[in-house]
Amino acid sequence: MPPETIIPAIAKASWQPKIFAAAPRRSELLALKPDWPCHSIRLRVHRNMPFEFVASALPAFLAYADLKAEISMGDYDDSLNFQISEPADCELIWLDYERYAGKLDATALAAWLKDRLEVLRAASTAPILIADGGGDEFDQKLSAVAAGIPGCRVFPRQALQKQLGESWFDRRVKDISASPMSDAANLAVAQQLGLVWLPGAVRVGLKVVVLDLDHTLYTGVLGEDGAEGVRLMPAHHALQDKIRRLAEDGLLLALLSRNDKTDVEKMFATRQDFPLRWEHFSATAIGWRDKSEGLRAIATQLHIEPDAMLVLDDNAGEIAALARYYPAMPIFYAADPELAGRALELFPGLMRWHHDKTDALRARDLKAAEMRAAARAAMPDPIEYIRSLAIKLQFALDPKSLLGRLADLANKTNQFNLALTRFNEAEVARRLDDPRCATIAVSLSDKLSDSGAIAAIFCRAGKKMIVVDEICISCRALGRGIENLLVVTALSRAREKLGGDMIAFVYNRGPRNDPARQWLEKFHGAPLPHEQCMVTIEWTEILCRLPELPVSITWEQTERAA
Amino acid sequence: MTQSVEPKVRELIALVLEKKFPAGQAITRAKEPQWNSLKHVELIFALEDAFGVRFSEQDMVDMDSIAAIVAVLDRRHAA
Repeated sequence: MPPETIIPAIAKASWQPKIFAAAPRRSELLALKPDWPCHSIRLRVHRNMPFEFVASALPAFLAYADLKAEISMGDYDDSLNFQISEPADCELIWLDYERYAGKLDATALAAWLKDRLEVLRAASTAPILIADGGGDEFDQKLSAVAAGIPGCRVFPRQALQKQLGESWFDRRVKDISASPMSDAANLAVAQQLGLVWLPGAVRVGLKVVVLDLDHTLYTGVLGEDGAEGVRLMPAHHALQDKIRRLAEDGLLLALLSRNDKTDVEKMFATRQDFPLRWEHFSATAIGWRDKSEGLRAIATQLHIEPDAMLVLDDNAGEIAALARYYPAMPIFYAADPELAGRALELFPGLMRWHHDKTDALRARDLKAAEMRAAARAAMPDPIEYIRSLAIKLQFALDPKSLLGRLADLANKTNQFNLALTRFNEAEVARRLDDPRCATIAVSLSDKLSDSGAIAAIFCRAGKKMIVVDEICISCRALGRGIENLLVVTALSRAREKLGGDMIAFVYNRGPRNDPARQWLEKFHGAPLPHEQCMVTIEWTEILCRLPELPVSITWEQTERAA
Repeated sequence: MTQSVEPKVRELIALVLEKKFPAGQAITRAKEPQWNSLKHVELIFALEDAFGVRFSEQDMVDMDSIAAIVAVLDRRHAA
């Protein structure tokens, strides 16, 4: 590996105290210039007050998330007449609600904003963020409005204001700048936007937090001090508590430690004061081998690539070595537990843009996968293996209630993702409403676990054919031999809705979607001719691929029909 | 005092206005079109943070050049 691959992780470690500071400082942030590549995004701001003081502090926070923003700010416009000529990656509505006082009450203001958000949604498919801060009654109504607009989220400006109290305001500058916000307020907003919300809007989130033990989760060295000798300081307790809450929110946890595994298991068994328990960890790599090997073992256990993991480690040498092997993997230098705790509230990629029950099911499902593998090994007949699992597949056509999960599947699946189209929430919502499209979600459960919605098939009507724009299947559903059953069953309902005797599958090759390619080649019966292509198969031939498997299949009543 | 704060003030003006200014060059708000009222407030914020001071509204009006900023900071530190 070239030595320059170390630089981003090391440079970011030196940025940490400034980036995750409880009170960030403008003079320090302005001086931070990244020497690593950052991905450009376009942020369009619709506003009736200055955003410039936030915008000028954003670059350092965004750079920490490997992003840089081209920000277009329209004129101050109380009426929100959206001027949309170019595409954007995120739309931000930044309003001083005081300007509507005396003209619109909370109900009328929320109703008017609903109309404006619908107009913006029709004009742009980019994620929409709208800042609250119009008083408790209005903010509650705004949340309800935003929940009804696909891909729209409320930026919690009011919560930041409550945290800062009176120091949110700076009356001195209002006459000059038309903004009542102090610099502390501007910087707090920039920190949240740049680290949490903009990365959350434009990037796929992290899936795993990988933890070192000694001097990261407690003070001391387990091998020297023993399970009872390591000390859980208040900051470590708070850090472990935050990590536990992340796990409860659907993130997977893994342990990567140079220790004896029996010592570690004993420590978690005896230290009842630890908020983290052994059961919280979905994968472990504990031993004396190189940590880069351990990290690879964790990735293999979880079927998750290292760039979707965040590593917390207190050892700069270990961090440098890991960064050399995995330059795209986020790493946090966790020598200071208080800073680490704050970072876990702000770290790019940790916020869930969508919340659904599938996130919480993931850890339990992974444990069940180990039992399935053992059952598979003990049962050579694949049909008997499937029968023994008592698999249930539930299909749903155009399920609006699964909008967020469908977008998640389109964006988070890497291995079985046929076209890598990456539909966002607004694009999925448009397809759910479009009579020329059919979108099928598939949920999976068996006697060992409920996996939730694990597959999405996106179809549309073409000329006398159905075009399958995308098939995404979570890696947690692979390996049970049900792919053909799942796809053909879904396509049968798509065909009922759209008609057509030919099915065209769109394929785009990506860095990791070989499993999808292999499936399509086998399904098609021939190698794919190009890295980007469309494979057309007659419906009668497709029906021949429908296997007879002992699997329970049900269809949910469509919400539209209901 | 003037000698010690001037380079830092120059650096902050350059960061806020996103323009390089050679050492010794006079910088005035009148001659820098990008030094508008919003950039002026941003510069005030950056100076207050860097020097640990809080300017009065009159200071903000007076600080229309690097020389004037240094003078205000000198006055603040002398007080």
